[in-house]
Amino acid sequence: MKLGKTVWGFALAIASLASSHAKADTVGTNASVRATVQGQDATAAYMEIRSDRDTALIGARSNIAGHTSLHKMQEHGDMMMMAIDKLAVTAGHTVVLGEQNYHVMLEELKRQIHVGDKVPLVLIFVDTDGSRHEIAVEAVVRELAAQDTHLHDHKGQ
Amino acid sequence: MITRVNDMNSRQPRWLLTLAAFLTVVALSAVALSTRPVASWLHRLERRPLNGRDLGEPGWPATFALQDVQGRERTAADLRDRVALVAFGYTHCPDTCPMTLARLAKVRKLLGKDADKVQVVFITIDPERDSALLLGNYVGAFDASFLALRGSSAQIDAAARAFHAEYHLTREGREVLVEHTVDVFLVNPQGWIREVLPPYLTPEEVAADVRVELHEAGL
Repeated sequence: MKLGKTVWGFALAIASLASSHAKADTVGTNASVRATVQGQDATAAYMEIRSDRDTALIGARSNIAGHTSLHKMQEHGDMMMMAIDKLAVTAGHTVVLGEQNYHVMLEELKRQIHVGDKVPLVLIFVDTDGSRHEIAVEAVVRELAAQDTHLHDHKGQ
Repeated sequence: MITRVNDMNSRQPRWLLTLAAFLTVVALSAVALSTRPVASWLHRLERRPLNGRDLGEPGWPATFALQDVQGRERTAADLRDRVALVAFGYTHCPDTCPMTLARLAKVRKLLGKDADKVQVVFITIDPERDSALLLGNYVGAFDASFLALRGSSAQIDAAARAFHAEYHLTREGREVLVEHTVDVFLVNPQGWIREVLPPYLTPEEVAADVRVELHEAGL
């Protein structure tokens, strides 16, 4: 009985290790969030996402925000910002959530975000077979007035 | 009879005809050049190629009547001695507004000793959530010289119309959905909106356009 429990525990440990390994094939890197001023209750998170399989980012959570959403900058005559349901991530390709294309919007902020803080984020994905998985990412906070990083590479017209 | 006429014509000095034709052309050109459409067309040819979208002569009148964060009434007349760079946005805006304001702060730095000849103006399109205090804190975080303006919805609508700045603010319960232009508008010291500056322009490109306008205004 005792041995049975141990074996079960061992099996579970291996299973969870295997599943955490399976989840690790989607990774978020270089995550950052803009600092806020007192009273400001929204900001944006940026990052790079890479996955070994086709998947889609469908949302995010953070303990500092009451509400999150995915946003896209779109050009129709003028540049406009709009909410999107999901962001496709193609296997083997890095998707950049950078200024002027995509970002995770964090709203209903519970506190002011200062430079140097770390902001925990959970990114939620749905694979092409409909299965969900989540990854944890820690974002660094940069100045509100920080100059853009992922910009001007799509200069056109 | 015919022969005689021909004789008379042939006796007229050719140089006199040439001179008359030349003087006619000069006179007509002078008249044409003095008319506003032709003058402005020529003026535009002279203009250095701009990085932003040139609205031509004279542009759109920058009419607005709003309040600064101290509650003082502000109009385009307050910007008469400077080139103004006007952006619309709101503090809840997570991405484009900070980016635009950071870019404009850089433009001011690039202008060096001419920095005080440019005034950045940020007009909130969300006065309900953007209190004077919050708006002042937010805009001031980018550059203390920036002018933050707010007003009633009607005043902001009127300002947006003057700038042809599109925005939509929809409330769905607690959620406020905002779509707005991220272009910046360049206003010359005479109060005319002269250029639309799209977001992909670099601070260097915007600063170059500001210099063109300052030069034209003799500042």
